[in-house]
Amino acid sequence: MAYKPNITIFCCENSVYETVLSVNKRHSNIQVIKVPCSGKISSIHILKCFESGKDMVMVITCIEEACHFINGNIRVGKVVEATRNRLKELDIEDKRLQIFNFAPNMEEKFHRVFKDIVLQASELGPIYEEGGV
Amino acid sequence: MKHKNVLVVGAGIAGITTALEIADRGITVHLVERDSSIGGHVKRFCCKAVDDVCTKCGACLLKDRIDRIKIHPNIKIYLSSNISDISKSKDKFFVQIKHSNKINPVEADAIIIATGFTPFDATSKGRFGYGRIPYVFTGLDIEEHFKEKGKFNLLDEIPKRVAFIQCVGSRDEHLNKGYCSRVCCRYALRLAMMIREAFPEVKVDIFYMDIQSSGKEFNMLYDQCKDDSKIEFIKSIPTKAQEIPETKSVRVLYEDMTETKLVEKDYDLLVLSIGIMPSKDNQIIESLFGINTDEFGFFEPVDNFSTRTNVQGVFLSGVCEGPKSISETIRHAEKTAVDVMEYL
Amino acid sequence: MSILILGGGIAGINSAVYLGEQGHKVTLIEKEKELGGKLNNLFSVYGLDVSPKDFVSQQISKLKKLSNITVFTSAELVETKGHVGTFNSKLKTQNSKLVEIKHGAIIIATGIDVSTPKMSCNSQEIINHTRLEKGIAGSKIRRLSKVVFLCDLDKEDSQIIALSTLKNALLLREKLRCEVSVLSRNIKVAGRKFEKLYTTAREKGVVFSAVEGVDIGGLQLICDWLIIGESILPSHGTEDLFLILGVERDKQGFFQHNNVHFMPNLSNRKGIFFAGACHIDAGLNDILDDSLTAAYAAHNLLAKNTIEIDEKTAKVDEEKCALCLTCIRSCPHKAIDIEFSREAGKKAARIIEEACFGCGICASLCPASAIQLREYEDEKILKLIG
Repeated sequence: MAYKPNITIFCCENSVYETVLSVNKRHSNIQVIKVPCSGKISSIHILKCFESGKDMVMVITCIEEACHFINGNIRVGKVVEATRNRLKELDIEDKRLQIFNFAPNMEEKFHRVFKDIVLQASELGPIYEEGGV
Repeated sequence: MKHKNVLVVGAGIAGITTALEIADRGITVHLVERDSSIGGHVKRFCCKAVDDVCTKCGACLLKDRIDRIKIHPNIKIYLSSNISDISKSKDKFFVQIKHSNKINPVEADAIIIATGFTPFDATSKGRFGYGRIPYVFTGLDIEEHFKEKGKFNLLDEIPKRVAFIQCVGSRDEHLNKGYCSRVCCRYALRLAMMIREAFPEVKVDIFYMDIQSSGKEFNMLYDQCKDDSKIEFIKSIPTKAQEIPETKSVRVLYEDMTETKLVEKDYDLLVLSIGIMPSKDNQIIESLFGINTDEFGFFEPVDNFSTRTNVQGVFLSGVCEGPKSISETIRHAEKTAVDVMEYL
Repeated sequence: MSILILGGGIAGINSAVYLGEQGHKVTLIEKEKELGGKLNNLFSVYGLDVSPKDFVSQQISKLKKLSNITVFTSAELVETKGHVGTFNSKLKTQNSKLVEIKHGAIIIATGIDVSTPKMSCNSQEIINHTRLEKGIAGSKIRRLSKVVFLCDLDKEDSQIIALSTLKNALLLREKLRCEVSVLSRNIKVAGRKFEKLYTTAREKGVVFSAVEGVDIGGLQLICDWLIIGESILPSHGTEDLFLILGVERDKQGFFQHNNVHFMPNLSNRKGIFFAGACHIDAGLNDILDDSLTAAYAAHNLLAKNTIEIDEKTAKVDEEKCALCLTCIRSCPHKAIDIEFSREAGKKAARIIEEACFGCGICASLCPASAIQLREYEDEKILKLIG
């Protein structure tokens, strides 16, 4: 059976949210979590994803200087960096957590990036071996 | 106050903005759009972020407004429609909105014209080869292409030399376009930076008359371009462009102002920064409503500080009154809404 | 609820008149002795049929006729507490008296200041635009004099100065038959009928020359008047305002950070708006439009005499609050205060709902997880994740 990576996408509702949702509708292994601002996302949410068996986490935030709440995108950038360090400590490939900046009208770019993320997730393989870590 | 109705002609960013402001105050708005979808030109513009940093083009501002307008209880949208007849009695306008064969009669207490613009047809400037030479595009072509594809894929190979020619169809007495289109320097610099980001080795030449560097912090973007060693600003407008099929390039001929000699330079891609022309519908609107236009065909308000026209109860919103950027259009459209609310 | 307007230049006055006419109570404060701002210093403005002084006087008389507008000159804002709907400000007026004002919204219209680059050059009479306007008004510029405008010196001229250059170049040529030259890098014509002004100036004989950087020390010019454009700066004294009001600025120090979602008039705080040259660089008609849209925004905010609260605001669990102040420091909208909580029996952070934008940044940063964002609670998100 072809390996289908489980991916959670945290998406700011002011970014490419609708486009992301359309992806979620087509693939059952993709989970989309909407946030009012990516600044709402904390480490614990991301780590819970990996804990619950998600193979990849994508954080989608707005482009710089275009956050509706001024610096939410900067804050989540720091949260992601800190969480990636934590993943390294836990011997989890930090590539499983990636952050992207999209403006709401960057639909095409999102589709391309998403395809690449699925590819990367497939190459990384499941986060936990069969039978658990 | 008796229930009021307002007609907005044109559902681009200006028409939508004015319509929302007025409808939010409890007034019924009839929004007429000749195309089969709303959003005007802005819906075809791409996000011009460079290095994931917003360059404030404003193209993304359309989406939220469209989402709001589609569900607004006070706004009635007429697509693929136009105004077929209008008459006035006392303070009321009686308008006929035509959609294929159907006629919708509507009563309005005020009318807002928001017919936007028509992009300059670059084929009129035949010397630049638009439509003939395959490597010549307009700024709008680049925008639409990038919006659709998400990347620059216009040519078979990676471009090494790109040129922008500013003021195509603007500041041109011969074409009766003796005005500045206001947005071309800004969009050209943004597109130039995007191309530089997409192809780190590409060299970009920008042929210009005067760079219009106004706008909040826009000077900083201009400085960034000037600091980029691969972007060169050449103060000269080329006289012609010709195709060189052997090298798949376009040869641009211009006068070097400092050394006063003619120079020929070859490019893989030539971008014409086309300007803003009054909408083709303006003439129809002009004759229907009797609104004054200026010598270029833009609608003329009663004075420099007003959105009112010579026809009482008719207001102007957005670029139909003169070239503006998206942020400037939004400000103007909101100001029009204020004026209309005062009038009603 | 009343509105406090900071700045009695044309933008502040215009906003005040509109709001007064809508029936709001308005307090307008101006730091100088007179109202009118920089427009008072101008002899003429392109596109304006009357003199700027008359235009300003007309607007001021409208202002004075409205009984619900109170004006304080030689006054400045010292302190502002509270939030949208319940601002409480202290003004220092003439004679150093302190006046307390309660208001629902604020419009910042503090305008600009100018600074002229210092230069000495070969015994020319070097003046800036402000002095030129005075000179024209006071007939100090003699007919047939040779005038040179030096533009875009170390950086591009602002719109205001570029427009003033064109307008005055034509005026001096037409009215006083001066020999006028304009040396600039880029002629700014991106505005209503600016290109027309430029072509008319050229037709009348104003000489425009493109220069690429000017070494003022090595400059040899034979002329009677050398006009240098001023740099436009944020109004002096406004540095304190950023702190007093907790509003953001852009990279050049002007009000309003540069973010498309806040245009035209919004700030990072609910109830605080910007109007006029303090946040944009534009000609008079854009400034007037801007002052009106700012006033309109304030009017709509307070029209129903109540402030609407968004459903998706954040809330602090006071028991858990350790008063680390992280939330207060990180809230982009200054919507969090410290208050004594009766339920918890201690001081704790409290989110002011009417000022909250519902972004959730405070919730994500709180080290004690004491803050939850309604409809996006941690429990809810964690459950979704699985």
